[in-house]
Amino acid sequence: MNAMTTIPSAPPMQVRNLSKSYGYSQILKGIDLDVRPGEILAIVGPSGVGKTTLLRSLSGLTGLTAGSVSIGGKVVNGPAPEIGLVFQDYRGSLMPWMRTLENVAFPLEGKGMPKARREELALKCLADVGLEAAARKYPWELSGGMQQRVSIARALAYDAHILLMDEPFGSLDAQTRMVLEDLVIALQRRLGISVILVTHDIDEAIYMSDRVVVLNGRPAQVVDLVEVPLGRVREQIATKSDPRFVEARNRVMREIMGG
Amino acid sequence: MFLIVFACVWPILLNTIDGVRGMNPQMLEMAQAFRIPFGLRNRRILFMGALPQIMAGMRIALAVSLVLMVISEFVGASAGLGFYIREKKEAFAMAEAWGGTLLTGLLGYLMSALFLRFERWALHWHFQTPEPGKAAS
Repeated sequence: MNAMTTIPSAPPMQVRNLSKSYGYSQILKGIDLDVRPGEILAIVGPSGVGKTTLLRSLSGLTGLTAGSVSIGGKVVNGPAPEIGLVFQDYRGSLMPWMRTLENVAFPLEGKGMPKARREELALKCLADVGLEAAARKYPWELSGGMQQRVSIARALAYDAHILLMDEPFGSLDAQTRMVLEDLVIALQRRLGISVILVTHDIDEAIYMSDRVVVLNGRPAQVVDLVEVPLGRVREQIATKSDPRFVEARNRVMREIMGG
Repeated sequence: MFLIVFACVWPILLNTIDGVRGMNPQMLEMAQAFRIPFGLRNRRILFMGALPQIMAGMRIALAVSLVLMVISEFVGASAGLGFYIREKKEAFAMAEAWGGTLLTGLLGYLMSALFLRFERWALHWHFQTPEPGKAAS
């Protein structure tokens, strides 16, 4: 059960008729999604449309008003062990009293894994995100991009087959962002995990993903599902100047901005 | 004795409640998402997150307990620092009475200083964490 080398293949995830209301205000209505094993699926939409609510519902952190989420054919209620969550606010999700290594290994402690084993695995996952040198440091000694890498390593160590990322690069500078985008793509290719990425950045969504889900309306519904025709090899400059990239971006932009 | 314990419980308790309540809710969500068991979560996240406030409560309690100790020895004890001060005062031995008072002050100062060192050691991560927004990136 080595998390890094032998993930068989991520289980498919199905969302059927998902609705979510807070009180009388309905946020999401009749969302149907199929997350294919080993794909990067981006969820975009105008700000405040309910992207984060959808992701939280998928992660099991908030309950559904109607509909179901199933992973590998099994309906899930509450946080599933197959899912690793990466928050936008890395500062609030890494614990400042734990060293980097402990932060990554902590969820494994929750699984009851012995100390030597979990530290070994955590170190391995830190190496996967290029941070093995920072294992003994505290999160607040690291830059924002490095802290977000730690969050990713933590989800990997947890043996997550499906990575849920909520605006993971939203508070990083542009260069760091690109580096991390490429890191996530590389990890996905190497490990075969599925990635569900919520972002407000349309370029990022198309650059990284195999398919883009566009949410819009009030309550939010899936207004489009764009297959990104860019193949599996992505490169910051070449991919983003590909005419098919531009075409897909314009299509999504029009749908979001209602132009 | 009972009085001292009673008086010390409050600053610690209230600060602990405040510390737990003031925690970043995202940390608890993180624990939930990674299915951290209840006991482990309480020990490693809730307790540690509230520790700065708990320590602050203990610091207040330390001062309160010293004051209460001396005062209670004024009225109802046959030994101790408070008793010594009162006895000397009633014997008009003012130098000794003041000496006892000064000693009380010194004791309080030393206890605080020691506690502060302990706090710095236990919460080294807290004193080093940059304020939100000031973090290097």
